[in-house]
Amino acid sequence: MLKRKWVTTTLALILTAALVACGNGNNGGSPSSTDKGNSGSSGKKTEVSFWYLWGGVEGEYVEELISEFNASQDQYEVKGLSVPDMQKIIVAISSGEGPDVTDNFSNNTASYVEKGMLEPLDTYIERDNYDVSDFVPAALDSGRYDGKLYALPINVNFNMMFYNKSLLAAAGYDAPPQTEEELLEYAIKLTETNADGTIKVMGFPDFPNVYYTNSMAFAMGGDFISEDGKTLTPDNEGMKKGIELMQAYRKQFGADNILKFNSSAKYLDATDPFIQGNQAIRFDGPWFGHTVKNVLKKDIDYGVAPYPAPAGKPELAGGGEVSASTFFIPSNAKNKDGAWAFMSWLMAKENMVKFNDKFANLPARTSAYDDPALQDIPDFQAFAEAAKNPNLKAFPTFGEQGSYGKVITDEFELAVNFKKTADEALKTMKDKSANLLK
Amino acid sequence: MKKKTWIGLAFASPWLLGFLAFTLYPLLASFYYSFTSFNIFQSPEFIGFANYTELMGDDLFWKSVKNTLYLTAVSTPINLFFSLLIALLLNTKIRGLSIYRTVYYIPTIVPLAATSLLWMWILNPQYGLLNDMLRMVGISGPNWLADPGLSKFSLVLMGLWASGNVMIIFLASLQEVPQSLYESSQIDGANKWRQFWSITIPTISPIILFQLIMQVINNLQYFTQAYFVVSSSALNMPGSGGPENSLLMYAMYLYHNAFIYFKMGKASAMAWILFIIAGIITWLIFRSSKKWVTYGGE
Amino acid sequence: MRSIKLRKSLPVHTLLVLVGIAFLAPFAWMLLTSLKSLEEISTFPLTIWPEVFHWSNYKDVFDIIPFARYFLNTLLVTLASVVGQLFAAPLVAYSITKIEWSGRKWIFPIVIATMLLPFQVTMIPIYMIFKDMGLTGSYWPLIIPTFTGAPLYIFLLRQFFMSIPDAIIQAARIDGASESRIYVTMILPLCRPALAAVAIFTFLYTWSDFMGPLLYLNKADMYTLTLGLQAFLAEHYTEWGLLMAASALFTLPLIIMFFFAQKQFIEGITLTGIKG
Repeated sequence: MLKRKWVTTTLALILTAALVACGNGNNGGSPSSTDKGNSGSSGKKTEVSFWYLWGGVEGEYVEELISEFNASQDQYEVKGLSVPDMQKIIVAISSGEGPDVTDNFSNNTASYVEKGMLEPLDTYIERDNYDVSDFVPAALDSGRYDGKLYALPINVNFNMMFYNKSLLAAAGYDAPPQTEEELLEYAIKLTETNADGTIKVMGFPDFPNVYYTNSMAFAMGGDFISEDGKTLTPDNEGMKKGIELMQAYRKQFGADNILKFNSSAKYLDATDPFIQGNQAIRFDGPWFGHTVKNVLKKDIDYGVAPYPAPAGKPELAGGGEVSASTFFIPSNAKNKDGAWAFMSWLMAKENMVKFNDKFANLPARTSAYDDPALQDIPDFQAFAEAAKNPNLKAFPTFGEQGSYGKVITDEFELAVNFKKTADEALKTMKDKSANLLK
Repeated sequence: MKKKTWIGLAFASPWLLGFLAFTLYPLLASFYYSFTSFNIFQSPEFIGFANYTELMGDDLFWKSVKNTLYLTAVSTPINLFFSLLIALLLNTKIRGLSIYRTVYYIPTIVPLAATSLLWMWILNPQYGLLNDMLRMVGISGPNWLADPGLSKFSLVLMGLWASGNVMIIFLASLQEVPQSLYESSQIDGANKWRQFWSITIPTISPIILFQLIMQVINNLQYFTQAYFVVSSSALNMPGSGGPENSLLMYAMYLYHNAFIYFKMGKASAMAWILFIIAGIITWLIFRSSKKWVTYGGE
Repeated sequence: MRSIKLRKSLPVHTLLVLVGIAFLAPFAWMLLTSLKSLEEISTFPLTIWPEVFHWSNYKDVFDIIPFARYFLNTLLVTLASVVGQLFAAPLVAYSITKIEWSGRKWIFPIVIATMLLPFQVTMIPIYMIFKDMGLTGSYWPLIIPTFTGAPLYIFLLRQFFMSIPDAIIQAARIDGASESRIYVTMILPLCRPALAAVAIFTFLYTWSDFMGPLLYLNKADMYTLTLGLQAFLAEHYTEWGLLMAASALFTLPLIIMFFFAQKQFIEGITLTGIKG
């Protein structure tokens, strides 16, 4: 008898716990019914829910800024929540359970706009006379679609060339490669192999592969859409050069050996070759130096330089691909005014500086680049300087750009694994993307 | 209605409700969705067979079909054969049976997520245990999960490690083969090999059939391990299918279409195609089973 | 006699031990890696035994991912699912084995057929149902379906119920006991071993389920362990040592459970495979 009683009690407890927890889960998503977005009508703070992709330590930085905003005014109370998966945020928005404001990558904006998910920001900007004149143009444009602005960038991302100074010096080079020919020549000379042909030190920026594909095409003078914006041009000259350069390098040492080297490594882990001192040249973003020096506390003597220029066109040096982390307000947000209030506060110069100081990123406002707070970030000056380069370009924004990117990545991979020639791959890219732009 | 019927219905009602809400209605709904353009933000719009024709011309769809069929065709027989072999070894009235059984079973209870992680590390070309052991005997190991030609086979290996369920079922069924059958055939002078083919296999053939079907169905729905292996590389773009898309499993591409590209209609069409393929394969197995499955052991 | 027997079984033992080592080695590797330092993991050639035991990896896991929180989340979903299956599956199995009514003949084949139905076919509409009910982002979509009984467990319990003689139920009926009374006081206690198997299977399955949480849970603080592990994996700067420590912690409860419930476990699996 006693035993039965015990079982029943336990079951009852579990069920109660389940109900309570489920109830909690529900409440977290939908703001309470008092949030009608009429700012300050009652004097009570209305709630603004803000979901962000960052987690862990970075999530804590975001929370610090949120509490600063909450303390700075008495109309809104921002509730932050870490949701580190963008698909989930989008799905939550679709079910009306989403946040009032959230962040995402600029390359998704267009497809969200096409689904009617985003609130245009122009009326807010006009109403508040909000100054966006000092944003990096390419970054601001990434939030624009059909002439309307749907998202504001908080930072600018692009890659630069990191090189291991000691490895270069050992090979007799005192400066990084300036042109595509030099890049290949240096890379081959910098590479060390083991007795069985596997790679010990890699000279080429082959790892991480994804940081090479598009940015190298831009750096080699290519663009992914025609100037009139009507035709996709994945088969551009820059893409071809990017493929051929990597092919030339891989031919020298064997694609299989390169793959083995790449697949053994985990990005920014102890097995990351640049961090081990086993990669001489690497393409990476503004956060890389900060991560190496301040997070992983590795003492590597490296330099930062712009991407090399295509052969015979020194004026194209320092090109690459720009993207941004952007913030937007979903069209079905419950507290749009509060969302804008928080977003415009965060995007104001001084707060944008605070944000990027913590993340070691490049702010989207060029006027912030002189701010003393940012100068301590490793490589900040180099990136700030490079950001002015007009050769930096953005990937075209349109609804199917995700599929476009996938086609390019897939064919690029086949070409550099020697499953296809560069021309075959380019032709397939062209064919498969022919109908993506509507 | 009779009182019995009411009672029966009452007892079966949880399942009945579940069947209506979570099987029958969704089945019909997904059939309808498969003829619509539907992105969950806007309501479905009827477009006829467009999703199906789009799939027929979609290289990635075909790639995912090939990958999944390959995995099913390779993994299923290897898994069944290996499990049966171990079960036969364990069925030799060996001492310490329960210890062996425990050891072989433990990998099966490791969650697939952890299994995937662990094997990614073991199969790491440079720092992995497997290639290190190969190196000791002078072999330069392959790239395993990173090699488009080997990546699926690596998943098969992973599956073999966790094949304890099938093994235990086989072992139990072997133990149920009546001893008298062996004894009488021994008198007839049959050797072990003949006994295996004429007694053991026929007696357990219904169980082999059942396991075969379950394995095929599971393999056609293969998702978690491949998803983990592919998404583990933090620098992969969403929608990636592993090296040269060699790990793009059918269920994974379906998931991508539904929740990355938000093409619910196309994903529903994929689901129905899978349903039909699974149905045909099951039917073929059942049909062939008349030739090799013997009933009436009980 | 004895030595002959031993000599005969020696090759089998050798083989079994070798296979056993192959089965345990990955495990050992997980534990050993989880105790190595960042540097040691990436040294070459590999070390098998950690030079220094880095217990701090486990501490770091707790610091980086809210392990206790995910653990409780997972436990909650898992226990609720176990309750759900224990409630529904035996009811249905009883209905189709021990109550003589016209529907029983129809249900079993349908149960078997749904076992063969790929879950992807129903995934999207079920998702839409929960979305329309405003339940995505909560644990309900993971729990509610378990209260309708999974086909596999109905099947398993049906196999077990078939072995209970009808005569004892008939006797009780003649004594005037109602079906619900018979079910609760007679049948449920009788099939305790099979129920234990259902509970264990549900526990295992839900504990490691990935697709369900992946579809329905958004917020990081509601994640289950599988999702937490995946998020951890996808984040930058997570070293292999930490990943292995997290995997080990994730697996541990299941191993412990297995050792406690081994018997029911093996019996349960056997039940699903036999008399198919």
